[in-house]
Amino acid sequence: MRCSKIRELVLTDYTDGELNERTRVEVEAHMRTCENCRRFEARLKSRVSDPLRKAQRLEPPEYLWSRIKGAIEERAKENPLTALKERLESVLVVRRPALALASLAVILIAAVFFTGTFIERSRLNSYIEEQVDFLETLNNGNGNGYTYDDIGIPMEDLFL
Amino acid sequence: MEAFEEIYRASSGYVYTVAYGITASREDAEEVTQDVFVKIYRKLGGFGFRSSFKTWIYRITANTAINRYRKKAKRFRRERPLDEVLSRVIPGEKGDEKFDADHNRTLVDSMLKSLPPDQRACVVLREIEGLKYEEIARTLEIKINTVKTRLKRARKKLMTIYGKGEKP
Repeated sequence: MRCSKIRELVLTDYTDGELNERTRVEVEAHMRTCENCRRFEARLKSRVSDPLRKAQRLEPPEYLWSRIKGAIEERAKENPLTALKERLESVLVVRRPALALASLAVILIAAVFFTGTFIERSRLNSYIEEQVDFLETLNNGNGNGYTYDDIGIPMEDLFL
Repeated sequence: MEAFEEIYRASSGYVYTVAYGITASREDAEEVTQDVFVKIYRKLGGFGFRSSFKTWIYRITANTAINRYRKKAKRFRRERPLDEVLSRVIPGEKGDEKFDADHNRTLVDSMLKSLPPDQRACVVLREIEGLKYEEIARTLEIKINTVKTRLKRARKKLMTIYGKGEKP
């Protein structure tokens, strides 16, 4: 591995213990033989990483809790409905808007499809019913003006 | 409210530390901590356990602190450069090896102030809070490679400013 690659790893994964075992051994083997990289790593550790890692965790001043408590209570007192609404919103919030929208779209498409099919089917049914009625009237010989009697001859004679 | 106070007692240390690390000001860190806990109180019912509670709090803190810092920086830029407002401490050649708490804190404050807020957030979460790359990525909702890039740039810059001198 070249020095530039080693230093890149030293600036990130090596220093943060995120390297796999094989690469870590490789980096350490390089540093045993390369004084410049070894010095670079030591300087990064002592000048940058150590001071940051030794920084103690800070504690907020004691009065801060009273301020926070006061702010929460004040908010609830000022407008109890808004406070209640905010808390309810956080419970009822739509967690995955994209998924919710996609579901809504599927429901709408299905509704349109089935409604359309239903309308088409009822129109077809009424058309078939009309045709059946018409044929029945022809068969019974009492359709609207289409009886044998109207023309005075049997139907077969017209075609023979 | 007693139960919420317990949550506050258990988590205010890391909220305040991260807020201070990003804003580089005690006053702003207090404001951010207050905002964060008011938000947590309001949104606690909506916490969905999709991430750990600690990651959730880190995320609210980092976002609130970065937003506050940016707003402040924008306001100051209109008046005078931010570098003039934030004091920078360059450590002496000998004193910075002792790492006594106060001196170290001053040095750390100075280091963090020299970085942009996005890099600060990664440095604070990694170096001070000890989070893994994956946890930082989840907290800040960025890719692991972005975490690495920000840490690399931050450390390179810190090496340029603080890495010089006789000893390693």
